[in-house]
Parts: sequence; structure tokens; C-alpha cells
Amino acid sequence: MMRLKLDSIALSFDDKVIFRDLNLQVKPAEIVCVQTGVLDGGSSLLKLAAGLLPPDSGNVVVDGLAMRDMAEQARFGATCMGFEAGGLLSIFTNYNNIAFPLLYHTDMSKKAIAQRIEPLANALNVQELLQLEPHQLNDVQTRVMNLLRAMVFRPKLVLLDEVQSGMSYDMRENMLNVLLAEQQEHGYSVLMTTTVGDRTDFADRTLAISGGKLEPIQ
Amino acid sequence: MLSKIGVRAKRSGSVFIGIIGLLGLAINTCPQLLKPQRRRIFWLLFKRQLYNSGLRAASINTIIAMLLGIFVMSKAYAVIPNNAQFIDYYAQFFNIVVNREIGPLISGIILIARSASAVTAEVGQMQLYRQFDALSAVHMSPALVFLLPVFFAFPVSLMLMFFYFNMICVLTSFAMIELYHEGGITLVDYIRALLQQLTVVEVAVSMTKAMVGGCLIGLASLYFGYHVEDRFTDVSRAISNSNTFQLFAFFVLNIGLSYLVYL
Repeated sequence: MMRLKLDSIALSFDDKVIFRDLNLQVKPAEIVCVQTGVLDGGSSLLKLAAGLLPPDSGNVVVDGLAMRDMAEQARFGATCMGFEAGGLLSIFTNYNNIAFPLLYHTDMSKKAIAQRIEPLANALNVQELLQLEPHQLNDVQTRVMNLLRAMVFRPKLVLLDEVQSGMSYDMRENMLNVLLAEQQEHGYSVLMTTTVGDRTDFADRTLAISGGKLEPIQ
Repeated sequence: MLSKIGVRAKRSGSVFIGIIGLLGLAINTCPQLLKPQRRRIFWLLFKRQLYNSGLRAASINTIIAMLLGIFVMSKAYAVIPNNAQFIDYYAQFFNIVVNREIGPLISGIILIARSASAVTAEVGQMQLYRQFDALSAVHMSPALVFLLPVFFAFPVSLMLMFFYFNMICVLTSFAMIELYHEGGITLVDYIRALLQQLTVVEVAVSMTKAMVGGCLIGLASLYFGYHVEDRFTDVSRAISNSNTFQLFAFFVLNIGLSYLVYL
């Protein structure tokens, strides 16, 4: 069974067509990178897969279940999106942006949640940012916090929007090492959009958006 | 002119319908609190809201209650002679002026000015910066995270504020009696006289004012905050419209209930 199946997706905003007959299948534990340009629909692709954006036509299926038919509990276990910008609620601290959804959806105790967040935050070198508020983070730190949240949730499919952008070499290498180690340990699939200069060599497949469809890159 | 009146009436009608809709949504979301996970996140957010809207208003409540206590008892001395045998009249004067009318009204105004504006601004800014998308991304219900804590915390806050306001007012007015009176009235006598004036109907009316008024103020804050669109000025406009509506609705509720029950 495919982890993610985008089937004949069409999406447009007013007169601008973003996708027409877009198809994508992601296997369990597979990592797929999608190279994107400016306003070509990279973020929309991930939002479609996360069920945050309803397609004009077509189906989004995660582990055999149509996204539109899933209850919020099932969606929580299915996907988590790391946003390129924002994605964190300004009324909570960064820590609570990660902990509250776990309190909401799972039976985990506060201690168990802390034990899951802290080692990963340490590995990503963002431990000291957890007690700050989202407005105190820069763009890169916001993306890392989004990534941390996705890794802590351990859904079936992690969706990351240009997570490598703006990172120094060392930071990017460390972030990818942590992500790949976690992905291997927990077996989730990753769909990541990338931009010019980002690494894609770790991916099982790399695709590009072209003419409203996904094309493989050789 | 007729068309302007029509537009205004339509707008007011849609606000009213929207608030009724939020009330329905709140009631509909309540069964989610039966799940322990939902309850613990609700409890955290409810306590946060109660702290912000109730406890943090204590200082301003104290100052206004003290000033009112002094003012009311000074006025009482202006119309009632200074004598221990008139203690029941002091208590009656205090009960009618503070407990029935001014106490609930001022507590409501403090809630609107401090907490309701803050909630409208918070929700408005979240709407402006598309932060509800972030909530959708973690698959949490906005009704449980924003609506229910406000829906429950505002009436409870208002009720606590009524009680606290009246208590400070009683103590301050007694301090005035101590200052002006030539002796013979103790705090216990004064409280006993006040309690004799207080009827079950008055307690029920005060509680109704707190419950209905608190709900109305809270739901209106969320309604106006949620209707912020793309411009930054939408937030300030939402706060202004929200406060105007809340003040009007709360005054109507207060005066309406007092008129129905006491007159």
C-alpha cells in the first residue's frame, strides 16, 4: 500500500492553474524531494497532501484512506507539515506549539512529551529557543521549529516546505543527519520541497514541478 | 437614508445571527470535553483565560470598588442622618446602588475594556496572519482551543468580579462609616444588615447578568476577531466594533433585567 497517493489532482486559484492531472505516489519510508521555483505550487502540493487545501478535483489518499474522510485524530497520525514561514501559533510558546497538539491528540503525559521533545531539540541545537515565542524566531529557526514538531509527532508522512533554505552548511548537514536518523528509526515517509542550492542526494527520488505536473529529474 | 438604516439593520442582524451561531457551536463542541485528552488541553487554556480575564483585573477592580464605596457612603450620609439606628437604610442604599446596578455594570465594563478587547485583538491578529492554518496543520479544533475557554471563562470571571467588587465596596463603605460615625456600628452589624437586604431574586439576577453577559461579551469578541480580513486596520476596527456592540448589549441586558425584576 502506498503511503501517499495523489490521484489526478487539479488545483487553481481564480484563473491561475497550479496543477492539472497531477499524480504522485510515495512508498512507506521513502524520501521524495520536489524541486520548486517561484510560485510554481510547491507549498500548495504539500498543503494538498496534508489535507489543508482541498483540490478542485482528484483524491488525496494516505495509507489507503481518503484524506477528506479522515477525522482529526486520524489526520494527526497521518501527516504533519513543516511550514516554510509561520506555522506556529503566536499565543503559545514554541514548546507549547509542539506539546499542546500531543496533549490534545494522545494519552502521553507531560513528562513523556518533554522526554520526546528535549533530545530532538538538543540534536537540532534549538533547546534554548523552546521557551521563546514564535515572533522571537528568525525564518530559519521557525522552519527548524516546524521540523522539530513534525519529528516529535512521528506521523506516517512528514511534509517539509523548503526546510533547508537559508541554513549555513553546518546547520543544514546537522539537520539532515538528525532527520534521516529519525526517519530510519521510525519509518515515516518524507516529502520535501527544495530550492536552488539545496541538497537532494539523500532522497530516493527527486521530482520537479513542470506545467502543473510532477516530472522526474534524472 | 432608508437604505442606510436598512444596511445597518442587516449588519446588526448578521452580528446577532453570527453570535447565536457561535453559541450553537460552543454547545455542540462541549461533548468533546468528555474525552480526557481534550479536557486536559481545555483545562490549561481555560485557566490561562481565567487568569487573564479575571485575576489580572483584580487591581483595577479594587481601585474602582474602593472609590465607589467611598462615594456611595458619602452620598448615603448626605441623604440619611448619621445615626446607628439608620444602619438598615445605609445597607438598603448600598444594596440598591452598588449590588443591583453599578457593581455589575462596572465589572462588565472592566471585562470589556481589558479582556474582551484583548481576545478580539488576539483572534484578529491570528486571522490577519493566517495562523488558523497553523492550527489546522496540527489538526486541533479552533472551537475547542479558542471558543470553549472564552465561553466558560468569561462568565466565571464576571461572576468572580461581581463578588470581589461588592466585597471591596462593602469593606470600603464600612471604613467610611468608621471614619464618620460616632460609634455603635460594627462590621458584623453592617454585613448582617446588608445580608438582610439581599434576596434570593437579587442573587439570581446578579448571576444571570454574569452568566449571560459574560457569554455575550466573550462570543462577541471572538465573532469580531474572526471577521478580520486582510488589512491591518481591520484589527482596530474589529476591536472598536466589538466594544461598541458589547457595551450596548451589556447595558441593555443590565437595564432590561433590572427593569423586569425590580420595577
